[in-house]
Amino acid sequence: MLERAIQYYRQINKNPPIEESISFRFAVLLTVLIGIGAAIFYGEIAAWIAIPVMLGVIGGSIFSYVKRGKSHLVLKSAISILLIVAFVFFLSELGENLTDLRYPLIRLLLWLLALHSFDLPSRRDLNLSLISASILIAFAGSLSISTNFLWVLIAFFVSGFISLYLGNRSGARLKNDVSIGFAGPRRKLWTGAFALTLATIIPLSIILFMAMPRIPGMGAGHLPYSQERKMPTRFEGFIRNPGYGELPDEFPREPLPFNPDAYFGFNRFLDLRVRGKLPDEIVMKVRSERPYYWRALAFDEFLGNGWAISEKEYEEISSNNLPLSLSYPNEPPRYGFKRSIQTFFIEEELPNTIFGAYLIRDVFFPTQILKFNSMMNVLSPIPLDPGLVYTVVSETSYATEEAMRRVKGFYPKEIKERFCQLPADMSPAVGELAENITRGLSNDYDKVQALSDYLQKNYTYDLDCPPQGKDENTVEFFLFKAKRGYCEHFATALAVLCRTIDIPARVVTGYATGQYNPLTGYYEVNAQDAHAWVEVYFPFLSWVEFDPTPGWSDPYTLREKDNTWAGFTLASKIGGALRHLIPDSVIRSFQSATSAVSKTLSVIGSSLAETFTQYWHIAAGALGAIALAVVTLMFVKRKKKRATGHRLESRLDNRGKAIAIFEDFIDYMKRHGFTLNPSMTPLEYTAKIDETLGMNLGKKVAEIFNKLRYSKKIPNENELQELESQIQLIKSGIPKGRKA
Amino acid sequence: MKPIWLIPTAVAFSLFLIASSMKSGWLYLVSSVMFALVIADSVYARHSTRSLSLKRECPDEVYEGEDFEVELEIRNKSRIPAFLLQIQDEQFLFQPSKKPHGIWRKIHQTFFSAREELAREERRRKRWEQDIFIEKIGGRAELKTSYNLRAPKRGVYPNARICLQSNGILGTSASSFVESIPSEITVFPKPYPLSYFPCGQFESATYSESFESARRGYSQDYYGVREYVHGDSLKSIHWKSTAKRGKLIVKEYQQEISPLSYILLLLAAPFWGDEIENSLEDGLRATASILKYFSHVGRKTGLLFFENKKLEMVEGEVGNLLRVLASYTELEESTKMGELASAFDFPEKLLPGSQVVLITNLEPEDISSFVGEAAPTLSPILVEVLEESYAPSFDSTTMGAGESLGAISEKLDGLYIVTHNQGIETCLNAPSNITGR
Repeated sequence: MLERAIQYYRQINKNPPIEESISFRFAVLLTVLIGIGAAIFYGEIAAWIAIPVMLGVIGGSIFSYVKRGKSHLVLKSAISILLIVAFVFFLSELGENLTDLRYPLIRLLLWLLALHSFDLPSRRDLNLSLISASILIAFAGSLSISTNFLWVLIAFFVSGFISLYLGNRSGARLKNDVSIGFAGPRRKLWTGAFALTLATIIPLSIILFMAMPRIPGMGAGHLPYSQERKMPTRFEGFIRNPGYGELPDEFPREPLPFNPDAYFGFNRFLDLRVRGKLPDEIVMKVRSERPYYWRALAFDEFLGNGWAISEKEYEEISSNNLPLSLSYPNEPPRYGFKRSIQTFFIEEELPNTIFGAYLIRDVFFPTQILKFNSMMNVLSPIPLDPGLVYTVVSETSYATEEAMRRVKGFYPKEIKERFCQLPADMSPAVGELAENITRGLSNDYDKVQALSDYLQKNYTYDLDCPPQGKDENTVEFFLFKAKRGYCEHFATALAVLCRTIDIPARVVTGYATGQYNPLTGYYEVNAQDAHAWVEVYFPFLSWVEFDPTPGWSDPYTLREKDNTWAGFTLASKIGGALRHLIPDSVIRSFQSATSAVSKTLSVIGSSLAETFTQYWHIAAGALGAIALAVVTLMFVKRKKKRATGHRLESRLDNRGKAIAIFEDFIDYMKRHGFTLNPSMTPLEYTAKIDETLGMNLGKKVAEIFNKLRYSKKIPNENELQELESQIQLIKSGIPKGRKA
Repeated sequence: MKPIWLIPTAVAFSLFLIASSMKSGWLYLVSSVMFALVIADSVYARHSTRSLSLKRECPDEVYEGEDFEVELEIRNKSRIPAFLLQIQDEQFLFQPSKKPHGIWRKIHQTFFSAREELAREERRRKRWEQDIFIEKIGGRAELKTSYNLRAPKRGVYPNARICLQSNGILGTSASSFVESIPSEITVFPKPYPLSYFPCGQFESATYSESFESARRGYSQDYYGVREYVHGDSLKSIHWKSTAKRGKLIVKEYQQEISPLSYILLLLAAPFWGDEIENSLEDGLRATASILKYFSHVGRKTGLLFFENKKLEMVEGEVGNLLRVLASYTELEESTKMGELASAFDFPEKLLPGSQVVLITNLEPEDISSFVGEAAPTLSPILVEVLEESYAPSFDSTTMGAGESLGAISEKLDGLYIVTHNQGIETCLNAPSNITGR
């Protein structure tokens, strides 16, 4: 018993066989190197770690192959000691930086891989290296914000698949006593296997990727931000927009000159007289579990043709430890919010405003100093340069429509005074319009919604809207004259309309959500996503965002937007990519064709509907008659078919038997070398049998069969028996041993 | 099969969770590819193990421990090529599985596979089982291969169990499919060479012939009847017997017979030993050895054994008798010696003067009545396969059964004691000298 137990123990713990396949080892090395390379590149691992690790892995793999059959007690001891050293370094790194665990972990894994490479005797060890490489590629993937990473992934998986195939082959060869190469077409062996694998895995991966639910994250995770920068320790609380330089303290008399490289809304003023289009380029990428509007600045003072920030002083927050937690003194009470983490990766130079979903509470920013005002306009001491990464934790509003309807007019005095301010020369027509739109509505939410709906339905979004006079009131110009405009005009109009009916509102600027890229998992924010919207104050719920611009949704409803399934987004992304390949003329033709088709269908539909409404009794009668006719026809046909079927069945009963007997006979004769050529008649076939066997029975069989098969008379039992007996005679006449 | 898909699936699932936590699209993609890898490999492994048709050819008859060649023809019925296949020829997987069933079976397979692995290694080492690795079979292609197997234990193996295994192309999954191919093979007990074994007193054909006439009745000129076999003359058909039994029976004439030795098998299920090495198997091997010897010296032999508590007798070529040994089943447990004795009326059924070799693993006391009855007319020889010699405490110097055997040895013409430690060949080549005196 003990002996058996020892035997089992040895079996479980026996050393795995030495891996001899050099091709497998090479493929694994290549895969590991791709993984390491990706981790080093995307993780920006320092050269003093990257170079020794790369060299260590290559050297170690070669060493492992050369010395694969020998035991290396000294080497193993040395590796163990070095592993302990690496682990100690890892622990010390943890002590220094606990905000993002990935980097210390990856550095530890890189050292482990380099050391482990010196001890890879078996396939099991090499497979372990493959798993480590997949962790490295996952790490690189978690850091990559570019679609170029796809090429790295392709290289990794191609190399990884080859490794797996070679490993599988090597293992199977090792285990078996008899090994056979291949049978079939003489093509290169692994090419076929590889082609088959790719042909299966690629579509399956795409389907899975599209179908994989993107459940909201657990919210924990790491909170990345750029490091190792020289940061100022003091700064003045000014907004610095690199595209607009130094602006005067007062609102300018002349419209600001438009700069296509920078959004004019990221200034201390929002000049509504500016006209121009922004370029189509990605300015930042945002990682967020849900879509939001990325808010930069809020404006409280309406000047007739622009907005300004009345607050000149900013609160300063500085700390040696992150995050920098923003909390303005005497903040009004706020209920119904959730914490949400967003990480911003800056791609183009942006002003020194910190973007984030409203209300930014904690900021992980490379500087240890920030400034902010009561409207939570957060400023950094440096402009947001390309490559800068920061994370904010926001308390986003989860106020429901029901909650917003329930709260009624308990506005704090200072809020009402400040955010219901309007210019003295404001036309009363604006207020009358607001009164007219909201007449009969009992709560502020419905009023705001009615105003927003009114603007969306009755005004046109147009980037080429006509210029206004330099002293002309923008709201009056927009509402009563131009009746078209862009987001700043819509937002201003809504805010002013709200203010006229004593609902506190303000205009905010920032970026809309952007396009979600399912490959990277980031929202790609374009310069053209620069946007303005409105924040309306509700007691106890604080500021809730509304967007009156046609075609846009209220930001507070974005949280319901479903990004769970990546399939649709991916399809739209592919469509967008293809769009660049197709000439504009073709696209225009396609659009006009689809538009024409849809219009035609719509006309037909509406005319049909109209006709039906007018002559519904006739139409209903006609439809009923058609339906009745169809049903009757089907019934008659079915009955007829059944009757025919029955007749055929009864008539063909014995004939069918005759055919079956003859077919059996043909099968039997085929086994004895008499194959029926398709062109042969039964008589020709049986003549051939007679000729070969030297008898005269076949002809008789064919004659009986022809009679039974083709005559009008239904065969009787006796005739069938005669056919069978004749066939039996032929069978008995076949010499023994005669085979096909 | 080991659940090798667990590791890539676990990695893929972990990446999915991390992707969800970090909202990283690339991680979703990596996770999707890994899931796709496992699914595709599983589907492929399943497909490739079920798309092959196998044809297997091997000799009909072999002896225990003998190597023989098996030819295997594998055809891919599908258009899709099959890669990296493992084929296990398990014709002799005779040991019944003692594994638990259901979910426990899976747990057992996963975590406690050492015993199975050991058994498999042992079978492969002894060449009772053969593993073949095929790198690729193209779509609709076929390949042939041959390999050697060694027959482990006597028996009739009606079907060859062929286990097809595939880990997919990339080895991230596992699928196996067992196909049972009708490929009957009869394994005879292993015979050992004997230099001499007593053949009985009557070896003269003349005497036998004259005796036959006396026994069967002078009016008849044939010895007995038997079933018709291909090639028998139609003139020899015994129509009365044919009508009675419903199958063709022919007369057997005097010139066909010669003096007979009878081997009586009284082998019960063993208590000690294992599946292959035990007293019953040794008894059958001893029988095969004696049959071979008798055949070698030209002595016709009959085999007597109990089946369903009835005495059966088989005569004929040594091949036929060996076939009986291959499919011999032990005496039923409930069989009592008294019942056997009443069924076994020696003098009436056997030629007087014929020799009876009794081969048994029963206790000497149990067989003394047989010996007592047979001794006066049949000069019995006893081959006692000592069951106790397989017991761990067996001491060959004292040999517990020696005393009992001594008591009946006087009535015997010869006594052979087969013990496990000495081996069949040694024991049958040297009669025992145990006496009652």
